[in-house]
Amino acid sequence: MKKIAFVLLLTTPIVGKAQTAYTSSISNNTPSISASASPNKPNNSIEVKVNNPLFFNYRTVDDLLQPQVVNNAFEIKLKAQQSANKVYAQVNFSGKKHKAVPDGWVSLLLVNKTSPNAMASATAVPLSEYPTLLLTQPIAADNMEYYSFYYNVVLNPLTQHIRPDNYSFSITFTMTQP
Amino acid sequence: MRIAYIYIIGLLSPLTAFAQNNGTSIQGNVNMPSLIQLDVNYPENLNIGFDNLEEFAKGKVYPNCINLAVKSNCPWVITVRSGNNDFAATAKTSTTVPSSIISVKPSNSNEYVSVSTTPKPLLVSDNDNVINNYNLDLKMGTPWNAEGGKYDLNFIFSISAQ
Repeated sequence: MKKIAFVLLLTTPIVGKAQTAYTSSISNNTPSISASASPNKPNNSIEVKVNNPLFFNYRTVDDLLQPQVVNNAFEIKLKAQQSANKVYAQVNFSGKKHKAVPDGWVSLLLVNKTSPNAMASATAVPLSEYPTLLLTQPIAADNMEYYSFYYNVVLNPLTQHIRPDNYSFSITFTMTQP
Repeated sequence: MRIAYIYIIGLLSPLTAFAQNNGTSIQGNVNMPSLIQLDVNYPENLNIGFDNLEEFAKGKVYPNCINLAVKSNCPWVITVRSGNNDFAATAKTSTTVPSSIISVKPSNSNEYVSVSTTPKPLLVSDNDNVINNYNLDLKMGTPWNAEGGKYDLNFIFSISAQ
């Protein structure tokens, strides 16, 4: 019985790390994970392909009051062969005055998808610096290569001052199993 | 003891599947310059004048006769000035009427700003709203030495970022 307890102690940190990591969480220390990523076995993955540059240039005051849109901005390619998946998105700004950026300024609008059974909002999803649920994809057939989800990126009209600046932002997508 | 060890490994496999959580990110850029717009709205052919001697002696106030519509993404200040030192008479007169007999103020304020060719602060942004509207009261003092007639004057409102 002493030996059993020793094994449990060793494995606990590995499991804990795997549950909390969002990115780069595939550890080289756990052979069972790299095996699951084999192309011959069911696996889950997410890939985002930018179709149009996410560049917004405000020129007039009226631009502040109208949605600014990059159509067909990116495509999410999602594999869900092993289990259902939830995809979350969050946005982070950088720039001298990035703290002045209002929550919900950036929204993502789903415009097309190849998945017949994914659950995703038909209206634009406003993002914040915290993960927001974008879509839920039920488990797919083993032979399904991936599903595509096409999104517009929208900067919503502003009602409050925002300091003039050149802002850079990053939209991070994370995939978890329910 | 060997059986117990294998059983523990078997438990671990489904748990470590969480490690397949994955993520990626994309980058973007927003160019946001200072954007400010001021629209001055007033009744067409804004005519002000004295109808009787009492008005002439006391001066006259025109409440809410000018509207300033501001759109801006940053704090701003509005100044007012006149186009000339004096009114321009529409007929030959031997007297001049200085622009300083005119003063304006926001309707919710008590302090009038007399108009001259020197720009004077009239309004400063008092909130963070992109859209703001203000009504102005206009007061006309008594032009004591002026001959009767019609006189014109341009008001110039300017807005700039603070």
